[in-house]
Amino acid sequence: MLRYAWRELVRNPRRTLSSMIGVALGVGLFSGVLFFIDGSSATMTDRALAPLALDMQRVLTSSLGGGLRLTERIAGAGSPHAGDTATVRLTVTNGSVQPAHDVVVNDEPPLPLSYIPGTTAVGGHAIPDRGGQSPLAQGLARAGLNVGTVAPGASVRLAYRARTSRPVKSISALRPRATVSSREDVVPLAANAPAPLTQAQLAARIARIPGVGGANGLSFVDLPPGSLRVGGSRVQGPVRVFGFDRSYQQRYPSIQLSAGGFARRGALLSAEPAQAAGAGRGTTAHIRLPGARLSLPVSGIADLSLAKPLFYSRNSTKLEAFLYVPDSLVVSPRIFARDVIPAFQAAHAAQGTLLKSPPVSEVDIRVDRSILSADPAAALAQTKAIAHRVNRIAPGQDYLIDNISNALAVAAKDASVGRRMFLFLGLPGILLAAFLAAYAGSILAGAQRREHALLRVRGADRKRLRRLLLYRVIAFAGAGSFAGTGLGFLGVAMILGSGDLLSATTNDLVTSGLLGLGGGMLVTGVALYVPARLSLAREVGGERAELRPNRYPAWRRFGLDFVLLALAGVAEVVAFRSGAFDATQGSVYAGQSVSLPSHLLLAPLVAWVGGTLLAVRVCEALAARSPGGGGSQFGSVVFGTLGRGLRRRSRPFAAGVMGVAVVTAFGMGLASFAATYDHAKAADSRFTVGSDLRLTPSPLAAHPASPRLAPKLDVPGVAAVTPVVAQPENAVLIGPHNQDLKELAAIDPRGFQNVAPLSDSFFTAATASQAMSKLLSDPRALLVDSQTAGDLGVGKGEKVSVLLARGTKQQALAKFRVVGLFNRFPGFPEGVNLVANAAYYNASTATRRVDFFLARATDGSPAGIAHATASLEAGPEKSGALAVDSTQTTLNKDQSSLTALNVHGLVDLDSAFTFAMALAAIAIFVAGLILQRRREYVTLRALGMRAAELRRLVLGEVALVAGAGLAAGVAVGTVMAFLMVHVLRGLFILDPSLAFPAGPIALLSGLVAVATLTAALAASAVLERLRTVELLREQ
Amino acid sequence: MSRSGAKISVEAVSRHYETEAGLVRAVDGISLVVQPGEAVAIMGPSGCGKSTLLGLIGGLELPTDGRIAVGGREVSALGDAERTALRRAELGFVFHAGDLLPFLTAVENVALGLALDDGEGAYRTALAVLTRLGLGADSEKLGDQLSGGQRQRVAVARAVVRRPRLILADEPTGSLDGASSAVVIDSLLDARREAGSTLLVATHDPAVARRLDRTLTLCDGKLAGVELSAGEPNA
Repeated sequence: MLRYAWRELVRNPRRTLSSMIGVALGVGLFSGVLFFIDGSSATMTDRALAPLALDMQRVLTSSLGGGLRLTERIAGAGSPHAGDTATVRLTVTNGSVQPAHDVVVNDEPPLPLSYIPGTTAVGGHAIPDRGGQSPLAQGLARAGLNVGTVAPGASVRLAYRARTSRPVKSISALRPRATVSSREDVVPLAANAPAPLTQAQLAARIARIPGVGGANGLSFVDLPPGSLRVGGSRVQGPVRVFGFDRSYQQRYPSIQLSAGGFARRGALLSAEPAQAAGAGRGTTAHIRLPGARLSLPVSGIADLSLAKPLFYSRNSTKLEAFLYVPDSLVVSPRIFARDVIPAFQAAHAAQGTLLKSPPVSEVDIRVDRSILSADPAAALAQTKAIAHRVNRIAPGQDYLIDNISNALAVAAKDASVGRRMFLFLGLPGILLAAFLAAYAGSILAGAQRREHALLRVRGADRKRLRRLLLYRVIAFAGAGSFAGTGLGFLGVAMILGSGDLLSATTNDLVTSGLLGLGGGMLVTGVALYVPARLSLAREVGGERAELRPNRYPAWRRFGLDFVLLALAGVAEVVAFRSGAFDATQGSVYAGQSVSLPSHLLLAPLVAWVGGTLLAVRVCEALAARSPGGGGSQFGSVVFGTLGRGLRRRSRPFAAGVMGVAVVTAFGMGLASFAATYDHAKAADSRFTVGSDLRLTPSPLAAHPASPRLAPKLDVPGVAAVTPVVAQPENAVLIGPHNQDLKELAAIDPRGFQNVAPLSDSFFTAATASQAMSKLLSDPRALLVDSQTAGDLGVGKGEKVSVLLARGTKQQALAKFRVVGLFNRFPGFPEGVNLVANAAYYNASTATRRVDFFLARATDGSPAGIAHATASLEAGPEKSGALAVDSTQTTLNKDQSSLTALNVHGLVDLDSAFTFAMALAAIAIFVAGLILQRRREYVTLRALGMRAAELRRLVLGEVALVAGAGLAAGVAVGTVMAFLMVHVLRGLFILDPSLAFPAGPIALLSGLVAVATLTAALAASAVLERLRTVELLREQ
Repeated sequence: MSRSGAKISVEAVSRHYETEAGLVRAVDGISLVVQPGEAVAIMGPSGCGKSTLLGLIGGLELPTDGRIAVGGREVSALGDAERTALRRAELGFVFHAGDLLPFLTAVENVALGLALDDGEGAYRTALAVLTRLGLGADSEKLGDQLSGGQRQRVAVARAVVRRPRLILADEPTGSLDGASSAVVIDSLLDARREAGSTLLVATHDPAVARRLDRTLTLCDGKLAGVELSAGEPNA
């Protein structure tokens, strides 16, 4: 039997190929998706870490203190017995040059010791117990004893007695529990803790940890407006003083030196105050510190406008906010420690002085990213291990902000969501493999009936035939799945590159390969076996069954198509109503990943199957009513034959349609999904940038930018430019009941409308055009974002006051009238609350300063934007006076690693297999035609049908199947894509709308047309080679 | 329309096949002549080359060697298109199993023969022929709804509806009982009489052969004998 089965496979290459091709392609798609998931993890890790400014921050908790120490000694018998007593002695020492205020000592004797009431003494003087408890651990909170102020260099001694309740092996082994804190050092310091490390010592020890690429100290403090004088002019805005050295600047290249450099006794001045004061090297900068003054020569000018490590908020509620302070000064760590810190210590030490912004001192740690695993979860384990080792250095003296682990935790969760999403996108591969296998199997089963009959005549019983079938199925499913797994691996290697694919762990790749192989064999084996097994049991002539099927398939009898479509519809409605699609945006710093309801991808899959079955039902019904099948005219020989064949053999036709439709629908759904993903991503980046390009004047520019610069920016490739005024917290909105600090943008309504992607959906109760018209016609018009309007209780038509240009010399209070509300406004990634007319803003503040320009490219494609960028870089930007951001650069800054998923790569993979499977479906259909109808065809030829007519007949039937399958597939695929796209909502700022990918559909249609023609011609050629006489003699 | 039968001339014709088992000489150097309007039976054991000879004469295959002429046209020298045109214009085939197209009704199967030309009035003509053959009531039935004899009679109707000059019937009664067989042969002879066609019938049945003018016997692809029979009066 085995030999017979082998010969059968080898001697019928067309049949063998027809059976295996579907299996190989379907399994190829499925295993390819599994390999793709493995390979794309590396991309996700890289993209997750790319926007991270600081990997880890070890923040010193007592930047103003650090001199307080506590020692604890327990004196008594070395190994006391139960009932023995011991004396606990505590000594608080202030090693600082400043007094320590409100020093609190907290202690409870270590177990099994217990406090002996009334034994506490401070400085040799007995202290009464509080409420019967030790004064060092009193009340429910076990609060300590405030020993008051400890002068610099002074000590305070405390003691109490304790009794042991059971024998102690060694009293010196008992771990002390005392802590000390003060107003300056609010974080309790443990007794006998090692001496606190200085920032430099801490940085040096952290730098030695394996996996740490670098550790550099950074200190800074915020000073109130007017604290800086450069040369003879006073800087109006708030000032930030940094303390770091050259090594820090070299570690973080976004800190750019435009002139001069670091000096031991000097300061770097940020570009803005240097520009305003006309200061350069040698100019003296005078800093007013609390109770002290510091004068330093300017040793260089720095452009800090892009320095994320310096200006990312350290406030836990705003970690992702870039809070730029234009007026900044950089001094050496030594000057910071010698002059700045003591000034604040002195101010802090003075009773009643409240410091709003104490100095911050930290060690910024750069992890060696080259050692991190490609898998975000594995990389997370690595960074956590590094964080653990960092924390073990001088524990308790400071705390660690582990940004990189947060980012990787998000990436790991994103990867998991991505895996699920990819799996749902890949799952159809195995279903398609099963379908194509079953389809080929059913066609072959019909053709094999005769062979089985012959075998039976020769003595083969049913059992042997079943064994033969089993061998055949194992061979087809095994070889097909093996080939498919190989195809999947090769496909992914081509799309991702072998480097990315092989960066996945061997374990992952082997698991994926085995899953693909095993799953493929199982599913396709069943799909191949069942129709053939049923065929063995069937005694009815195939011809009769084909012409007058007396029983519809089960799916049709039970209306599975309607049931599945209804299920998909209900699932969508329920998901919408329950807000399942309103996924929250992720935050890398908060360790919160994007939540994608990937399980809802089941709905499109269900709709895919249901829709295809419905399309098949419709096609069958239409075919049964096809013209050319009745009346007293036969019609032309081709049309008459084709029409009648279609009408009376609608079920095989419908099966062929199903083969093409199910594949096309999947391909179409994925192509739409990818196109929508692209459009949504592009729309998001346009929304974020505000147009195609954002041109930000450099703080180093000789003069502040004004609207007069706009015409100069109108270079080839740029269609329109508009100026925008916007700064963080630059306005105060004063409503009738309340007021609040807000962000205001001043725009030229006409110009803005011309360049920005304004949408009616951004505004409430007005179109975008109406909102801009109101802003244009009424200079005092003000647009307010809905949340601000709600918070401050202002409504449309209300008159409000706004403090413009807050905190600057141009600060002015102006009257406005609220003319509309908006939910979103393009061009302000950090958000904007108020939008006003720039002309009125300029008149009110007597300034013409512009913060940035928005420009629309003549051609919005990547090439067009690149052309416009090149023109700008060659022209106005040549001097470095403008920073050019575009939608393309914004695309690369996406924070969520989920948006960095290589969806295109996956779709390319899917598309390649989809195209191949569509062609395979046509090929299988044609192979089926040849196998099942060759006798009819040779009869027609014998009767005198010309070869060309026969070709037209075959082509007509294949074309009808391909055309109907394509049409049904596009329709079902569109519905599928519509449902899939909803799942993407959580990924983007703007709601994605379904995109119709004309290119891929045209390509698919073209390929199907070519395949149809090729298959029909090949079939005709095969038919021409058949031995007519021999075939006609067969029973 | 009345046309004379086609003369068949077969000269030293061979048809050999290469198979895994070796060379098969299906027809091996046969020469014969069939006069216009003559009804000839070709007999012989299974595999002796009867069907192959009919296929060669009908232009379904080309001989490996030798020359075949039908109605004065050398079939063996014609290209595929010309042989197809010849079959269409001058030949009618009745196959062993009838070979009706299963998705066509009886009348449509017959009309198909006419539709190969222009199809004008094909349906009506086909129905008339079927009625003449006693199948008028079954004309709208599909092939699998007809009995074996009926199917063969429909096949005969399809072969003769265009009044061919040559009718080639390959074991048309092979799977029929005696009565059905007689009806089918009657139909063929009637058609031959009406159209004056030449009739070549490959058969195992001596009763069928006896009703024709002459019987050629083949053995192992060679002509083993020629026998005149009483046969039916030649129209």
